[in-house]
Amino acid sequence: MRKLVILLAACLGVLAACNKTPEPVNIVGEWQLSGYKTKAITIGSEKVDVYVKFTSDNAFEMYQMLGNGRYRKFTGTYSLSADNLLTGKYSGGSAWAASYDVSLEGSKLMLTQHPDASEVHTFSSTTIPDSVKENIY
Amino acid sequence: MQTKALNTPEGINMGSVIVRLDRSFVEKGDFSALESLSGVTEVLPVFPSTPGKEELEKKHHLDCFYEVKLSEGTSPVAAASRLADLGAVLAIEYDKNLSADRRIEVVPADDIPLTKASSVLPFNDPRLPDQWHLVNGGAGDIARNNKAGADINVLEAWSLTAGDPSIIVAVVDEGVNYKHPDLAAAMWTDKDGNHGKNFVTNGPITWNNPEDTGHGSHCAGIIGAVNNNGIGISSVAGGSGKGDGVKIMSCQIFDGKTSTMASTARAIKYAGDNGASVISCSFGYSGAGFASDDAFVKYAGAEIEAVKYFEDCKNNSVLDGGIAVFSAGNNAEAYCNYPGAYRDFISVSAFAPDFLPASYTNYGYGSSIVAPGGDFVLGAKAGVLSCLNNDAGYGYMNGTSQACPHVSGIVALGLSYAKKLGKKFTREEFKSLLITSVNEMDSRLTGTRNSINLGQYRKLLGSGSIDTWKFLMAIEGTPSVIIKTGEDTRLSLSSFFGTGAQDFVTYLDIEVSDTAKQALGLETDPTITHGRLNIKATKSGCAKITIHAIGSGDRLGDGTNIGGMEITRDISIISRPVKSSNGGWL
Repeated sequence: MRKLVILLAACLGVLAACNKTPEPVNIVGEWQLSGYKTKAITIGSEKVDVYVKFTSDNAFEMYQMLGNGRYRKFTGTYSLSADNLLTGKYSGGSAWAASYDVSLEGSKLMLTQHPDASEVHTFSSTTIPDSVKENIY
Repeated sequence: MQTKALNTPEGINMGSVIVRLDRSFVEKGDFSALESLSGVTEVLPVFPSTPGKEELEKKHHLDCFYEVKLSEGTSPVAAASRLADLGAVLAIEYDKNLSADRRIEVVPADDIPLTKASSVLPFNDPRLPDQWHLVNGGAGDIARNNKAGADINVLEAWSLTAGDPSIIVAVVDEGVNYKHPDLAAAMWTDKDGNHGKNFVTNGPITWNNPEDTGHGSHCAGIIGAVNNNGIGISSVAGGSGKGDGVKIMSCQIFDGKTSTMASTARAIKYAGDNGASVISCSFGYSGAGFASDDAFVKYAGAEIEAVKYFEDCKNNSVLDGGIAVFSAGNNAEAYCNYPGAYRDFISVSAFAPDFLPASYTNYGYGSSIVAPGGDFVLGAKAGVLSCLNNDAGYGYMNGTSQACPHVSGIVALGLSYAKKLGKKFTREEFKSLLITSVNEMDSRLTGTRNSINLGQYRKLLGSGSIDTWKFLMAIEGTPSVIIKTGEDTRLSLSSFFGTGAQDFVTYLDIEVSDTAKQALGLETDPTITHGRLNIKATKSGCAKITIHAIGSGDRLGDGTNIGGMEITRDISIISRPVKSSNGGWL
């Protein structure tokens, strides 16, 4: 009987450990921002167009257009931890605005600001158009 | 009579005076009360009416300005005295002779060796390497202290647009040699084959009077000489060699002699009536000593109204009206000549190839912006290279007369690009974009040059030196800026008001709607100090705010002062809980 209890505890321990280790998310690919919201509101009146490409060598390219004008290109490196916490740094040395908890919901890549979820970015899988890559400052 | 005579009888056309009549009198159509006065031979409208434009003409009172022709020997002063006794005569202007505002020194280019071509130049025009004012690589043989980048920064802009033939620029000047091989294909042509009109003789355009200097052809060449045609020069908006440059309309107001206010006013109206989007006016009333806009309006009421009429003529798909560009004048004075100094008009001062103010340029009150005008004190090639009146002739001139058409061409290039993008603006918005597409010059104004203390120009060179690339980027749109919610932010305004935004722009006020206040949770009104917007948003969201400023100088032009024009820029702000230091989204 004692053995059974220990085994059960061991099994529960294994199950608990499984719950603590989420499936690693593969973010390599090209993504377009398709949703953005803060805890309070969604920014809807201003055009925000962001494309990001994550590569397997932990580099990223980002093209963003805020409001008007051309796309601005950013590059840098990122790191995705085993528990799917995404951090990054721009080539100029600036850190990202935040780190993000990453999850995949179907074909959507969700980046939730860590730790307080004050922003949630939804990215859809895409191919970054050449017109975007060429229309940069 | 003195209260009706708005200007003084010096330097005037002895053959006529201009009167503004009461409209009810005009509408009766009976001018016998004027015609019967002693010494009066004829009463004619200053402005011929244009079918379809009657309402606009009335708005600017153009239907009420009449030219009273006088018999030989009749004193205009005596005639004005008799006219003043008539109740229908509201105001009298002596028809002032207009002298070209120019130091017309011409250096033919034929005997000057060409500068070696650079591989970066996009057009095959052999004289382009000598046009430092368009693309300046800093070649030492151009001028003493020639400085790379002392140009209008048009090279990359040409990859976006080099013009559009539907955009017409009227050159209000001497007649343009429309047979010049670098200009012929750039000329606007009406249904009768005219390329404009001679308002001195009411006859065909001429450029071969012995007293003609080539001033009109030179200005026209700067704006729109045909690019990439393998001959001569390039121009600001002369296309890419595919018939895609802007068009030049010649509105001739000099014909080997001085012009008059009446003929100049008619030329400007003609430009508006015949499709021009820009008038390039390298002339002004130098040394007249006007101390305010009101003083000039009294002096040249018919001409001011004609320019305002032109500004209301919508001749392209981009703007709700036209843009008037004038030279600032060449008297080396700390205020600019009218009409350019008038608050609504663009007045252009000049810089030289050393990227310092030209030794002759007017600056200070009334100066809107600075463009290349050249300066022969730095060498012959330090002038601006363009077309001359002799066929296939090219030469150098220097003056604000040359700076003015650079800006006219850039405005035309901007209109071409906005049309290509399908964008629309009010003319006030467009002027604000132009005046803020600049680079500051003040940081170079230290020490002396030719015994002139350069410090005297500080904060007095319009909004700075024009930058064509920045102007086209401003037309594309200025990106929103991100601020961090809950944090006091000091936001640089240089991307909205030019690199002089921090120290040299005078800000008037900040317009924030209630909607914007709510969207950003603004608990206190934003302020501006040292060219930075101080703002604190307490909520995440986005909103536009509008900043009003003076285009140049520390005061607006008004009835009692010469001053700058008001400019406005909208700033779109996104407030987020987090923000990266470089503005990146993640």
